[in-house]
Amino acid sequence: MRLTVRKGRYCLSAALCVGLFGLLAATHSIRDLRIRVNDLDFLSANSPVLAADQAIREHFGSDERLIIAFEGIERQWSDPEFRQDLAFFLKQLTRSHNISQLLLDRLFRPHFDARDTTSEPYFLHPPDRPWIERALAVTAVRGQLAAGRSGRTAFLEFPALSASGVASIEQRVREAAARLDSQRPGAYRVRVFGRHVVLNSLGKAIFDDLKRLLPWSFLIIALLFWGMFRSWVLVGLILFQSGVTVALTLAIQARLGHPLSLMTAIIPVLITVLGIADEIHFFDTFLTLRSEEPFRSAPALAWETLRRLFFPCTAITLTTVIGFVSFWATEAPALQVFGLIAGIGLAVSWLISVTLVPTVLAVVPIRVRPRRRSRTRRLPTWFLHPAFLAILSLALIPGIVRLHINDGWTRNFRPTHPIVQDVRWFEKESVGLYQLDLMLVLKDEHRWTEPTKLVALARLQREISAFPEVTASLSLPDLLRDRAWELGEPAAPRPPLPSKQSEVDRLLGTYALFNEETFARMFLDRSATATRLIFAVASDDYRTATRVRYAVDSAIQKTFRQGEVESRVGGSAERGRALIESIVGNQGISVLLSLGVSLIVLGFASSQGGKALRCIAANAWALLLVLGTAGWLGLEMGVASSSFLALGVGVGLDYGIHMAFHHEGTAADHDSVVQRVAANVFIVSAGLSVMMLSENPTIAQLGFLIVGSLVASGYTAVVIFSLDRREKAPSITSAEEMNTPHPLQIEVTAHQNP
Amino acid sequence: MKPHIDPLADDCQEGEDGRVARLSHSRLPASSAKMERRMATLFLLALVLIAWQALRTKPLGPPSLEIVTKKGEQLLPVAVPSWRSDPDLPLKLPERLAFLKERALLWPGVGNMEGLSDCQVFVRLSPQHWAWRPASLIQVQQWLGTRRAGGSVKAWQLLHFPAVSFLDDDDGDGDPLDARELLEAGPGAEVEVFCGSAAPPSGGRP
Repeated sequence: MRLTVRKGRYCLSAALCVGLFGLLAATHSIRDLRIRVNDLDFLSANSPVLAADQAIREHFGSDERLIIAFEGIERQWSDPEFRQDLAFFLKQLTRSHNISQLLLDRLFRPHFDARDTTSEPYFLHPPDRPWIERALAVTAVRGQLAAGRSGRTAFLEFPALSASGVASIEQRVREAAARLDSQRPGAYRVRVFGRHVVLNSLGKAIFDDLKRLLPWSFLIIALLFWGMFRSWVLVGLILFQSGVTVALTLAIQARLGHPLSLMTAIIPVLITVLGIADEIHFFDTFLTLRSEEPFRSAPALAWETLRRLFFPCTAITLTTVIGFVSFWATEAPALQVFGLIAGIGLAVSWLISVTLVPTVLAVVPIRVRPRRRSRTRRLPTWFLHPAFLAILSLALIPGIVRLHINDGWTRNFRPTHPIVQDVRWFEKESVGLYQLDLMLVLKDEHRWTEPTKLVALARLQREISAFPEVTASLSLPDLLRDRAWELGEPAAPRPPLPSKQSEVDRLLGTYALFNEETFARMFLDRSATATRLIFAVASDDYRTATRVRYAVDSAIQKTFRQGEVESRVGGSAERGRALIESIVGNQGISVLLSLGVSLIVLGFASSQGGKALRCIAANAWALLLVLGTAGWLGLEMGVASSSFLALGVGVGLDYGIHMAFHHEGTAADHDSVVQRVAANVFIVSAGLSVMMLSENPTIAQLGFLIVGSLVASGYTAVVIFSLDRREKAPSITSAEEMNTPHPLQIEVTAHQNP
Repeated sequence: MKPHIDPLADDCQEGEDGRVARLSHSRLPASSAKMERRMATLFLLALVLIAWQALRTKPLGPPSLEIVTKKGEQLLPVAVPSWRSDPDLPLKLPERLAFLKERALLWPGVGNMEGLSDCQVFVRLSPQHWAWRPASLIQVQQWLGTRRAGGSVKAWQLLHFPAVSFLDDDDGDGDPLDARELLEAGPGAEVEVFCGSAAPPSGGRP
């Protein structure tokens, strides 16, 4: 069937209209896209720490807490007005039935008083100031959790049942604090802490980041394409392609039920930039062909362009997809979903590249504004000399030994962010936000309520608490000694552990009677064969959690005989530690798999194993250079930042493929490819450098590392694939020597003044 | 000298009959067509894999919520709150009994409850909650120290349990309530005893 260009344009217009309507319908589901950040998504479902957490929940119940810090700016908690204002705040807060039912105030909570009074005919009485002061000094639970070290803060606790529930409580806390502030302006500050608070805030931050970075990446792409091709049609086409790719990808993500998370939030920027890499080659080749053969028809040129570029563009998309898909081999669901959605995004982009783009080139007149004359700025020959690459490698790669792993959730915010400020304040004022749970199960017929077992537990707790990273600890012996003190004389010191089983049972019985069964159950399961110790850690970073973990393991070995107890370690600190270790480890698997599969695919499709191997070698070399640089710069590898490795394989391989599988044969053609690769590196790096503007420091670091790996990949690919030429010709011919000026000269040229 | 390029030149490249050149006209070697086909096949394979993986990757949900206290072991709120005022107790016995039952936990050391349906005893532990236990007439009389043959107790009595008595366990049976520890006059924690018609068999704990 033959088609006139005019009819082709009508058909394209009609198809675009239909496509737009279809797109609108398809992207309707974006409204259902949720934002959720959850550290559990980064761990394998079979991860030991998740199994430990599950076992701990089953034995001791869910105890994830939300902490409300009520801080007097000048007043101490012992000031009667402080207590009065706290009561007002609590009354405002507990207007909500659910909050009223579940809120816990450890500081002013009624306690057992052995002195009977006629006016208060019951056992539990509101505490007075001397009693609270004594309790803070003597007891473990009240002493560590009830009040701040400055004496100006009372802590309230609330079970954190869900992320949305926490967001709702935060809202009510703010409202109650505003009412108090209207009565006592500036007298109090109310803060809310909890893992969910950090994660909710991170969810909001990544969405804000996305809203800011995506328009920037579109703008940068538009400017660069305009600078390169001086055609509004091409700029419009590239923006249309990027917009459609992002919209369709997000719609598919929403339809599949995957939320916008820490990892998936960077996908729109990634696919916007990576998706247009093909177009650089399409437009450039099309315009080059048109300038070389001005009498050939546009459809014929577009077809020629598609035929020339189908293999390299499909290959680079495929290897990039392989880079993303290699995340499936990891055990972290968050990375698997990231790889899946990014892969889908690139596939959508490729589909548009090989269908819509050639069609538009064929039927829409491309007005290219004549550019000012320019002269080529040649890359220095020493820079492309293999000896320089060798020297650079010798200098940079040893930096790898300086690399170390470290990360933490608060590192996803700038140090000035209110969340970070609040968490740091809480670490100084109280026990810190992150904890390590140690569950011990007796393997024999004994019970943890036996006095000898309690003594062993107390010894274990002392051993672990001696480490400076442990800021607080709580255990069953603490509960018993605290209650023994509460039932006795307030002036007396904290009693030792009970030496009789009946006394242990009596003390534990009071927890049930005083409506505090939950507290006891947090440390002792129903059968009394499993107990839990809770250790608060100084910080949420990997290093701290790792040290505490080793301390726990060694203390257990010292305290118990082999086979006496079975230990399991869980808790937010341990989860953080395990996930960082797992992610960074998984990146290695992902990179190796990605390189291996890319090698097989390229080798099979091209039947040129040698070239494919050189592509892979160039890419791997580039990654080593970047890793070494990161080591020298003191960058720490974390969840997000280590992802650059797999991404670097996916994207960085493009340059080797272009260098290896281009159709040109002469030295001038080789230079043309080098220039296209340079332009590609420049544009993609510029687009991805938008990530460095992220408010999230780890994403900014990831952006830096990806850009570094792209530049390094382009460089190693050019050097390695120029070796053959170097053997044949002494120097690389510049574009200046070519008869036809290259449309991409702008990237490697400087404009002359008119 | 760069030739002048007319941006609309593409339109002029149509044939005389207004039709474009055949699109199959390509200057690429035949080997590249083979490579393209292989690459296209591999790409399609990758798309199939992606679609397969998309269908089998289920979104993760939050971990399940576990509550390890059973019904009756824990009342809400979690612990005695400091911001709640004392409740107004109903004056009529049936309503009062029902009110206390709703706010009562099980008294420790009760053991076997068979034959303990004569009376229902509520010890006030805090302004907001009580501890409940069923008791026989004989037990109530023992606690009062008034046990005698054919003795009776009132349908409702307000007694008092001193804190000191709560702290000891004279007979070592695990039950803090021992003989002669309930007093008719305070001070001490309030103990409400419902017996006979005022304490209808409820078929177990509240």
